[in-house]
Amino acid sequence: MKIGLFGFLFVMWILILAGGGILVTILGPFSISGYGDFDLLLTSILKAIIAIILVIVWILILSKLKNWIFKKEIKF
Amino acid sequence: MAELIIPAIVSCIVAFFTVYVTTPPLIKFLQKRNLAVKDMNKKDHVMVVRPGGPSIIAGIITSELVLYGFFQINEILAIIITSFIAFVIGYVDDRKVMGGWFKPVALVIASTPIIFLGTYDSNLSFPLFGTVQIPALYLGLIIFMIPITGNTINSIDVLNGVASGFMIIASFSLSIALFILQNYEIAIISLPLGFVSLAFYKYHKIPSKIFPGDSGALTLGAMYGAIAIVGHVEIIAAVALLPAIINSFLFLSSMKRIVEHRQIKGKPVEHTEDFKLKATSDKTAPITLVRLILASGPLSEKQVGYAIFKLTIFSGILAIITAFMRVLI
Repeated sequence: MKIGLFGFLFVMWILILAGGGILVTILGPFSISGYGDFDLLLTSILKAIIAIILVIVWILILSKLKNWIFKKEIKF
Repeated sequence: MAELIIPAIVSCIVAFFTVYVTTPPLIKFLQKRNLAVKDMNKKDHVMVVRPGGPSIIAGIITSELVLYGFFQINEILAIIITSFIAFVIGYVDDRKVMGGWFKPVALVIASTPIIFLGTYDSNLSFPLFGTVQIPALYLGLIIFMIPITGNTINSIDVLNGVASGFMIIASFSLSIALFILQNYEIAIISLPLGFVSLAFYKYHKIPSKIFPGDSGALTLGAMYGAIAIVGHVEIIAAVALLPAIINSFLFLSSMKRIVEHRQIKGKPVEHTEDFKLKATSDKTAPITLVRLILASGPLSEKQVGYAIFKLTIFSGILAIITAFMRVLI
């Protein structure tokens, strides 16, 4: 049990680091141009959408991992 | 650096002793007014008073005001006001049972002082990879962060001493991370949180003489979130908080909605004959951190608490490693 929980914590940490890498490399340099005053707003909206998608993917991965790591424990 | 030592020491002493001295009279006051709840994990009929939030907020406000006397920076005001609003929201929930959505929604208000005082930096820093500028998205992050940290600490307040003990480890880990990042002023501002939790733990540890209640737990969580934002250590703070985040994640992913504990019919944990805690096989009950810890067999309340503390120490170490990784950038 305990090793499973420590493992789950560790995997969550790795996923946070990896997610940060994706955010910095993809979201960081991303910008939209050609829409005048709306450039900043459109860029922000698109960045927000990508970030939300990443968070959803992160939650889905965690859900799968939870079921895999705790398959013995979760018989509830 | 040397000029910061005196404010640090004075504020830590004030934080610790304000809570240490005000909690016993608060316990007596609450006993007189019969504001007590049954401790469900005790064999005998034990009543424990609540909430301990008033002494916790007193410790936070006095110590942070002392620090404000040394350095007049808006970050301190943002932390004080955010913590106080969270305390008021928690106190309302302590006195009157509110719906499951009340605390998360109301805590959005607690995040507004950080925005209005401009005590944030919209550059989100990640270890190893650097920073990403997300001005609009960051405002959303602030609005979400305080409700998340507040409710996350509240959700782990399930056994004697766990919320305050957890907060001691997480907040000191965050303070160490801030020192590593040479963000000395915010590191010192963050220290009272650990000392307030330490003093409260004296009365909250098993067997509890007082419970923090929603007002106490939300105050601790909101202050933690506010420090994370004003100190620009959001990711590190999230790592130190991982066991509580796991608890909330397991709870939400099994219940599929935001719901108050008291509204849940199925029990995740039951008691053995010798009153140890044991995981149930109830399919309608939420999966929680405590339930997973107990999956391998019954444990005493104290043993479960220590298991949570071990996980918190592990995540605290990961948070400190994360801080070192940020220094490498």
